Amino acid sequence: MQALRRLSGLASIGLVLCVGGSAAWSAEPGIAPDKIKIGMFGPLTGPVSLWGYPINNGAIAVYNHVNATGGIYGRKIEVVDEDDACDPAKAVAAVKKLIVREDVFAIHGGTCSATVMAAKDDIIEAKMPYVVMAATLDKISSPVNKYIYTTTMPGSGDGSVMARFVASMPQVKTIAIVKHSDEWADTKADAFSAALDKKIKVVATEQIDRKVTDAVSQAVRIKQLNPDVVIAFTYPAETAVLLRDARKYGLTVPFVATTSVMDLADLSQRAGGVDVVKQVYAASFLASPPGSSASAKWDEIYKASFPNDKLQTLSFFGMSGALLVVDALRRAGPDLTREKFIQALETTKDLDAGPAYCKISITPENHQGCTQGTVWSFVDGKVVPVGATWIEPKQ
Amino acid sequence: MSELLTLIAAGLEVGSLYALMALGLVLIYRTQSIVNFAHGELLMAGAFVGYVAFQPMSWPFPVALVLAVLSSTLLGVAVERVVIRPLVNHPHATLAMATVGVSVAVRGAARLPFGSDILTFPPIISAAPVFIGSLVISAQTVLTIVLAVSISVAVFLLIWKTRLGREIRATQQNYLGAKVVGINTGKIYSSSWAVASAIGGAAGVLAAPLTLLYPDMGATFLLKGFAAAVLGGFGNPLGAIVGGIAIGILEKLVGAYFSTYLIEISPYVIIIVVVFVRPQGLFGRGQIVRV
Repeated sequence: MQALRRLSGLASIGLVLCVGGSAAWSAEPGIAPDKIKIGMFGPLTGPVSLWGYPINNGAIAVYNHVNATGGIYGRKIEVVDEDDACDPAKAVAAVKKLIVREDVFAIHGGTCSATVMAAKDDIIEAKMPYVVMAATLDKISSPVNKYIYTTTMPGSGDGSVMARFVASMPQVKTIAIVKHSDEWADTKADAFSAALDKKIKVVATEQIDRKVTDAVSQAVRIKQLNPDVVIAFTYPAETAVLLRDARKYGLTVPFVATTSVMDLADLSQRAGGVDVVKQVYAASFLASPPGSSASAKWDEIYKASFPNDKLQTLSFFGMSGALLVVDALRRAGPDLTREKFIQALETTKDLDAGPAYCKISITPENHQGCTQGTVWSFVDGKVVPVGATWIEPKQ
Repeated sequence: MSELLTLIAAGLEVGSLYALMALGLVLIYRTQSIVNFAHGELLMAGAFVGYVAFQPMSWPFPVALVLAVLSSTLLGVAVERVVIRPLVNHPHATLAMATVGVSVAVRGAARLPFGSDILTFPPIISAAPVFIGSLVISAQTVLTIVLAVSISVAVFLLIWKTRLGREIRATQQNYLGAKVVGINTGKIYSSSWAVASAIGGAAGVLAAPLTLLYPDMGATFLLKGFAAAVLGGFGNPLGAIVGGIAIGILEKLVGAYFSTYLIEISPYVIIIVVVFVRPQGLFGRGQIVRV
């Protein structure tokens, strides 16, 4: 009888080990023989949903394209898209849902920097591989954390691209800076100042507040100082106000602006026409605007999934991150685990970033995959990339 | 010197809009002792109606202006009849909170058709600015100042030269006395809101080419209008006009000659200084209490 008990005890332990072992083998979250579950979050409701949909849709379009061309080792990517309304509390809830209830393999999401910062601790605690969708705050991915990666050009990168371009402009000895008073502008402005050619003198730093009614004082002050170039660390609406009043009060020097106004066609509508923005040079992390011959492949991929959407620069924002995820999934091999995926992410080198300007390179010491950008401007009434440094316009 | 004149012209342009905002606030305050926190939304409603008429519909500006004024007037009267009138005997704080509620609701309603994106209202007159040395004056600036002054004069004539104006003043001075002599005080309340809202709508359509259009645009003008009313003496229409123009010019001069970092805080500083130094404002009378 005692022997029988011992036998049944051993059998029970064996059964537990067997079942447990098998569960452990198949329990890599979000992985099934035929699919890989990727979580996504972003502003799908509220005022910022205007950006949220095209950005997330760009990434979804890339995943759909990969699925349509055979998937990854026979597995299709399944996207679970959650709304954060650009609200930190909702973002935390969305990320927790993706981790706990949806049991996703990795997360690719986050357009608003504040929401990503709010959800960051939960992502790290869950040891969840995470690729930023479009948020730009440097603090998200620096200092390095094992689980967090980005292909979005961080704010500091924006400032460096602008500084490099300004230094290459002919005859530029003095500049005036106009900026908002917030972390977004400060990060870019600090990186700009650090990278700026020391021979160029900053003659004024003016503040422009959010939702201003006009920028008369800024325009008049800067005009009096007569700088060679004005540098604007401003959001699109305030940039439009600044440009409109600059023109009105005879401030006709070139403006160099951040990636926030890289959709120069939109800026021209806000500011009152192409004439008002024809001297604006905007930093861009995309190689070419949508609708151009250089971006045709990515235009088609987006349109294949979202034929009724308007194609805009935002449509491309999430694509480079999706390409990084896909590449890392492939390099991680058919026996996919999070560890292998993270290892693949950390060894990404010179990956084609699709519509983005950069080549994505990530190392264990640097998880900001894209820090290079170019500059766009209006030429002959069309928005075109004019290069990361000044090229004399053709006569 | 010409920079100074340019700044004064720009200050007059924006200041005349602050003056219209302050005038509307003062009219309602004098009649019902309510600080109307929804007054910015009356401006916003006028601006958006004017935008729809002037831009997508391509109607002439005078038509857009009239439609903007009418729509804000209707909105203001509706707010008074539906929200304020039933609460008229409640404490002032309740009435003020009711207007805060209206403000949030109107902004929310505006987001349904217009979203939260920022729209641009083109200049009413597209003529290039005139440069006289460094002095810059645009036709838009002149038009805004002329229309704002005309509207202010019309409101003063209405208040001081018409029967309705006398009844409004009588109700403002002594509510019970006005009732006793047969004035329909309900009608006076609605009329005051109608006039104040019409001014708000006109200010909206004049402000639209100067600034950008978005559902929250009224908040900025409300704050400046409030500062103007406090500076002029809350309750004094002439003070509201002077206060608005003074704040408009002051913020331009402070921004250009001191620091652009001080532009947006200047209205708050003005409110605080006036409350400490001369609580009744420039044109207000000190409160005398019979003991």
